Amino acid sequence: MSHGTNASHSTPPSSPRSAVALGVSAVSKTYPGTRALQGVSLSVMPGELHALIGGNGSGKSTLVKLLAGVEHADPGGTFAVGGQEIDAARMTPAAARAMGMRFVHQDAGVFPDLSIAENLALGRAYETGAIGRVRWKKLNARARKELEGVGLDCNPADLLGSLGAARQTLVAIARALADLADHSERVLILDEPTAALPSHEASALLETLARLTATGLAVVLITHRLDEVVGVADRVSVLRDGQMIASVDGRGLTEEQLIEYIVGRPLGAVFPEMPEPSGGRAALTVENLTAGPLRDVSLTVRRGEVVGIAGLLGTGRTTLLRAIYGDLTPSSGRVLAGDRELSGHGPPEAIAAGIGYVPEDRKREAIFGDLSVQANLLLASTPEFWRPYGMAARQEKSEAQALVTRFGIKAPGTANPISALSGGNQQKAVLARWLRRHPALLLLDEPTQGVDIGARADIYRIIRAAVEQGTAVLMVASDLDELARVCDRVLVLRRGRIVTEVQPPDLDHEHLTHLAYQG
Amino acid sequence: MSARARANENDSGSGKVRASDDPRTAAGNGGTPPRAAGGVMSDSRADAGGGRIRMPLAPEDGGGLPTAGEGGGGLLSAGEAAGGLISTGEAPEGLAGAPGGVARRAGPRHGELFNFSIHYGLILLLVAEIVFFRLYGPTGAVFLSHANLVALFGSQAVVCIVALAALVPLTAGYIDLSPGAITGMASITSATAVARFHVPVLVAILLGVAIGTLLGTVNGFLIARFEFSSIVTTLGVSIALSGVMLWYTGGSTIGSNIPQSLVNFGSLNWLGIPRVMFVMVPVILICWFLLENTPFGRYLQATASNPRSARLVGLNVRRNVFSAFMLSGFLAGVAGVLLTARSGAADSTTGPSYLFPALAAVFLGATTIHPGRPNTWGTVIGIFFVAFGVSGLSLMGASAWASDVFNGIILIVAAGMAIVFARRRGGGPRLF
Repeated sequence: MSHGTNASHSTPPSSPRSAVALGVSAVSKTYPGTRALQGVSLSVMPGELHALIGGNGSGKSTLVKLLAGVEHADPGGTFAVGGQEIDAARMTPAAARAMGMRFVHQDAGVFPDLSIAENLALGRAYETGAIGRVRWKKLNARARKELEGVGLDCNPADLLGSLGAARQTLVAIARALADLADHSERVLILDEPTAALPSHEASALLETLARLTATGLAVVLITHRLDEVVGVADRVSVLRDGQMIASVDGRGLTEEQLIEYIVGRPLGAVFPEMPEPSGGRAALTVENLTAGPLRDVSLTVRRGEVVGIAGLLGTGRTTLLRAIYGDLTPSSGRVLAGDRELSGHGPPEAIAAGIGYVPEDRKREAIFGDLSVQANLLLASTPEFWRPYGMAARQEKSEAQALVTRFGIKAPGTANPISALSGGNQQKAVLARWLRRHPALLLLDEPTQGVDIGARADIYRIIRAAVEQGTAVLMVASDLDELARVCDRVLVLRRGRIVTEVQPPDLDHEHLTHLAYQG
Repeated sequence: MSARARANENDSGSGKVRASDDPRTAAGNGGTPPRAAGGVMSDSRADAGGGRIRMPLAPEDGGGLPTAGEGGGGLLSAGEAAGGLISTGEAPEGLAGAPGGVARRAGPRHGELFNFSIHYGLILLLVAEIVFFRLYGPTGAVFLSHANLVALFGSQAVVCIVALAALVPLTAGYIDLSPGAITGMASITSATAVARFHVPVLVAILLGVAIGTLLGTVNGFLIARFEFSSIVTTLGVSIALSGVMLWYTGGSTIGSNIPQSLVNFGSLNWLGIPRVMFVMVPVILICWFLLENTPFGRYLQATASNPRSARLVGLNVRRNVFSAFMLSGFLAGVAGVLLTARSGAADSTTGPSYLFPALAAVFLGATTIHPGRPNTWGTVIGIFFVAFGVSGLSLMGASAWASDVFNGIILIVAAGMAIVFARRRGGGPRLF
């Protein structure tokens, strides 16, 4: 269901106000020092799947927080749900709820250790009998009905943790919708529900959402996965720098158009030009490595070369990087950094041999969230700044400033905690941490995960610039298209073994997908 | 659960999240995209962990229970909301090298006064406290008299060093409950050595410090090598040592035959300054230098922040934690010898009784200088903030119990203020 045609700015509702399920009108939000939203307007029709997209920091999440009432807009704007209108500055969580809005956050707020029925019941009260006993039978029957509403066929008594991530999100949606049935206007707002899902699960989730809209439910989907927007959303609104850039019909929209809206510039190439493989000396040689799921893996990465590892989850991709880095000790096999054999006992040895590792889980394994940007950049190089009189504070500061500039890290200051930066800027800082040491080999695990499109382009350029300086890169990515475009060649890992190597001109998305999923 | 165990748990939790964007977006076409009107961009997705309440040993994200900052029920939480306060410079631009790619640095988000007061609030309160008791009639005459200051500084030397002994492992995120008991052991060891075995004073001092270091090494071995929980291990060590001390002393005081030279060191002045200050001040300076100005100190801070990341940037977490506990034991040993000198005796209960005031000072100190992080100068200020307050109250004629009430309330108020300020800033201190 779509309304209106392409417009360069948000369209005022063409139908009477009461026809709009969710209306946002001239809403601004100013934080100290920055305007997060400037006069944003948005109309979502009943039964519409409305995608709200934008890069990191575009104001998507701010808008959600304002709608949810957890933060307050600047005076002047209004929110309307159905016929009810409210001053945007006075929105509260209770009002949002009463008006018929429900929110499902990225983390979904579900409890894997509790049963599905309990997860659903947490949204309201448990049904209790005499002396407060929980009436499990009634609870489960009700849960089953709610699950059917979102197309889930599972036993409410099972632990939520036994479901996959996509179905857990569906349970969260079922919970959000459970007490919404008697509202005249129903608006479901999902903040990045698919961010952590593999693409086939994400598309199943989106199909369910599309089905739900048939009942008149308005769905606002906040996402940065453009592929899921195209072809699914009835309407797409694009935020950039806190302004509503466009609100366009979802039909016939292409990803390229969306990228230009989001980034505000033609990308030319998000992926840099691929230079000729250099055929230099080996930076890394792995011989007959066996560790965890890996069986007898051998590979070589030469100086100035980007080698990709393609494979499904659980094939040992991350294990391979960790074994090379010495984070886990292989049961057999050899790892040579240049000519130097590594014993596999701890990262310090690998670091000394010029290896840097960018782990997949940035928050848990790479950054020090509450330490400053400076500390995060320089921690791996601490001895370099150690003088007889103590740490060379001034040099550290100027080096951190220089790195922030050189790698285009957008930070309010190097003394601020790194957790204040967006995911993309955190990732640039993690890369800068290693690249300032001119590593011989960089191990990258999902280097652009959770990073918006603009920062992704930066990260590819950073990697390519390092490669031109002679750094070798071994890179794991789930996104096979990313591998095909960034890597000089790709090794396909299947059930712990390297089954084949793909080089240009065969190096493309379809071919890799075929190889990785086959067998 | 120890911080390390937490790291391992984190480890097993990784590898679940998949790439999210689709890079097919790569094929940019030549169309002219709409341009931004040069607006400022707020990085509201940043997970600043604002308002996140996290004690060093609290289970993190465990069991699916929501922490205050993460919120359940799918609603956006206040913690996340706080992340929205942080703004970055401009719209995406070219990278490295390109002049336009330089991040614009935002100015301070709050007034200078606000920033100053959250960093130095406790010092201002200390000054206000001193001024108050100096001007207040009943205490004014004696409060800043030489005699009162000598008594005050002299009496704080032991507890100050015990607090520093607790501070070192806490810098790495490991709580240590044993410095009080180790201080007691070192005190009894040195007193016994001189009083019962008549060894030279210098040897007795070394024995006291050595027993402290040895006990710290035991802690470090159990916690760093075997990854035992630090709170459980040091609690156990502490209880066991109290028992050993009670058995050895039989509940009586070892007080006779303590050489006069040692007693004089504990009770007399040099140049009008209590002699114990000549130990306390260098110990403070050494602690400050080690924890703030050496790679070792940086590594401990990094370990507290994220032990898993610390390992993956090549830090020897195990060795650093071991060293921290050994250093803690050494400091407690010094405190123990000083305690013997100060009181001219040793018993089984005085040392352990220093634990709570010492820990209180460390946590109080974590609200100042580097808010949210236990630090040396903060700890020292915490000690003297309480000491001046208690001294003033006792000069006013308050009973002995008033000092504990004062100490406890101040701790809660200061920690509460630290949380409030941190939420306002949008970045949460990790300790409270």
